[in-house]
Amino acid sequence: MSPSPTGPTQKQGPSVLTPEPRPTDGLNLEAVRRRDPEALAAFFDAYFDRMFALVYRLLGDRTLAEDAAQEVFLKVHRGAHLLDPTRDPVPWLLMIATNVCRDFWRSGAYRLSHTSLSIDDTPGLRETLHSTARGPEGDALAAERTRLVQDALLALRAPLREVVVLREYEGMGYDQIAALSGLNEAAVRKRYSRALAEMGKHLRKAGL
Amino acid sequence: MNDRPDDRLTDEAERARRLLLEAPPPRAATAFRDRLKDEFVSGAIEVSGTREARGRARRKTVPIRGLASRRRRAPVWIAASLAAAAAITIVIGTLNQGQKWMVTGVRGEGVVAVDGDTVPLSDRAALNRLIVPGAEVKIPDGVEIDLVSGGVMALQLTRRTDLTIPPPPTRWINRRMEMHVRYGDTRMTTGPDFHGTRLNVFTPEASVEVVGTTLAVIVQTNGTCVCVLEGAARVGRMTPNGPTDIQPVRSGRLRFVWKEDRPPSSDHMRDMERIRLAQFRDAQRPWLEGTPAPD
Repeated sequence: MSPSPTGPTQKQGPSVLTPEPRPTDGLNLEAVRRRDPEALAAFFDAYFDRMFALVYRLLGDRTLAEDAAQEVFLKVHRGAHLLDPTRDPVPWLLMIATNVCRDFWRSGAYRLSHTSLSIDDTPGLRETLHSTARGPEGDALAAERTRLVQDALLALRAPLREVVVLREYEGMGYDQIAALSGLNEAAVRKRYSRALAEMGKHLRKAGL
Repeated sequence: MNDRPDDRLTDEAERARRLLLEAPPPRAATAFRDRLKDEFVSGAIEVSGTREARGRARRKTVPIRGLASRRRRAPVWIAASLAAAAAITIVIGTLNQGQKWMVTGVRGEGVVAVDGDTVPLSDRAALNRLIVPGAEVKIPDGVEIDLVSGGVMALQLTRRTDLTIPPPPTRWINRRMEMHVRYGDTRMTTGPDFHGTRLNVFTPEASVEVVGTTLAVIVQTNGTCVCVLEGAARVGRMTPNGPTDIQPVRSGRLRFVWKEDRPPSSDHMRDMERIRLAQFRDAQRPWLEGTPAPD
C-alpha cells in the first residue's frame, strides 16, 4: 500500500488549522451541480480516496467502509444541486462522511460488522499477508506496525476516534470538529487528549 | 482559530500521534472504486441500493409433451405400463422431495430483491412464496433473513448477499445440493437430517464442499473467505476446469481464496465470526431439531 500524496505522511501534525487545501482547480463544481458526467468523474477522482480512507478509519471494517463510501457518494449525488461552487466542497464532504459513519455506529450493522471479520476486515492482516507473500522483512514490520496502530485506533470509543481521525488525518481544527460534532471546543480538546492518551497506552502494551 | 494544545500531550500520547501520522492511508479495492465511480457518474448510484440494476427474464418452463399429442395410439398395455411407471416416479419423486425453504426470521427494515422484484421484508407470506429453489435473492445492507429447510439445514443471508436459492436436498435419492453465492455474507448450519447429503457452494473464486458443519461463506470484492465453526469443509479455487487446490478447512479455521491469482491464505477464524456463527446455529437449532415451522 503506497501512501497517498494527500495522505497523512505528507502532513506534519495538526499545525494545519484548516482542512488541508485540496486541488480543486481542475474541478468544475458548477458542472457537478448539473451532474455532468465528466465533472462527476473528476469530482469522484478528486475525493474518493480521501473519503474512503476517512470512513475506513472511522469504521475499521473494509466492507462497512465500502458501504459507507457508497452512501457518501449517493448523498453527494443526490445533493449535488446544493453544492456551492464558490466554496471548497471538502467540509461538506466531511460532514456527510462523518454523519454516515455515525449512522453506522448507531446501527446494528456496525456491531454486526465486527462479527464477520475476514482477512480483509482485520486491519493490517491483509497487508501482512501481502508482505509475507513478497517476503521483505521491512514490509512485514511496517505492515505489523500499521496494524497495531489501527488496532489502537479501533480500540477507542467511536466519539474519541472521530476526533482523532478528523484532527490528525483531516487536519481539522478543534472549532471545526466542534461545529461538526455539536460539541464545544473544550470537549473536543478533552476528547482528543484522552484519545491519544488511550492510544499511547494501547500501543505501549503492544510493544510500540 | 485556536489550536495546538498539544503541548499538554504526554510523551506516550505524542508518540501515538506520530505513529498515527506515519500510518499509510487505507485504499479501496480497485474493483469497488471503479464500480462506484461508474455508478456515481452514470447516476445508477441513485437506484442501485433500492432497485435491481438488471432485470432478469423469468425462467420459462417447457411443457412436457404428453403421449396424447401423438397421433398414433399405443397399445393399451404399453400405455398402462407407462402410466404406472409415471405414477410410481411421481410418487417417489414427491416423497423424495426435500422440505421447502421457510423463512424463520427477518431482521432489519426495507425490501429484498427476489428474481428482480422487490419484496417488503414485512411481508413474510410473500417472502415464503417467492424464496424458492432457483430464485435469485439480493439482500440490502442492514437486513438479515434466516431460512430453514426442515431438519436439513438453515441459511442466514446477510448484508449484500447475492445468491441463488438452492433446491433443498432430497430425502433418499441423489442427496446433493448446489448453491451459488455471488456476493455477501452467507452463514449455514446443517441439521440432523443433513446426514449423507453433499453440499457444494460455489462463489466466483471458490468451491466449498460441505458434509455437515456450521460455516460462513463471505464473498467480497477481493475474494472469498470460508470460516468453519464446526465440522470441516473442503475449499478449493475455482478455475474454468473446476475446483483445484482443494484443502480441508477444519473447525476454527478460515481459508481465503483470493480473486487475484495467488495462493489461498489460511488463518484462525476471527472470534466475532465464531460468535456470530454460534448464535446463528443456536437460534436455528429448534427449527432443525423438529419444531414445526409456521406456514
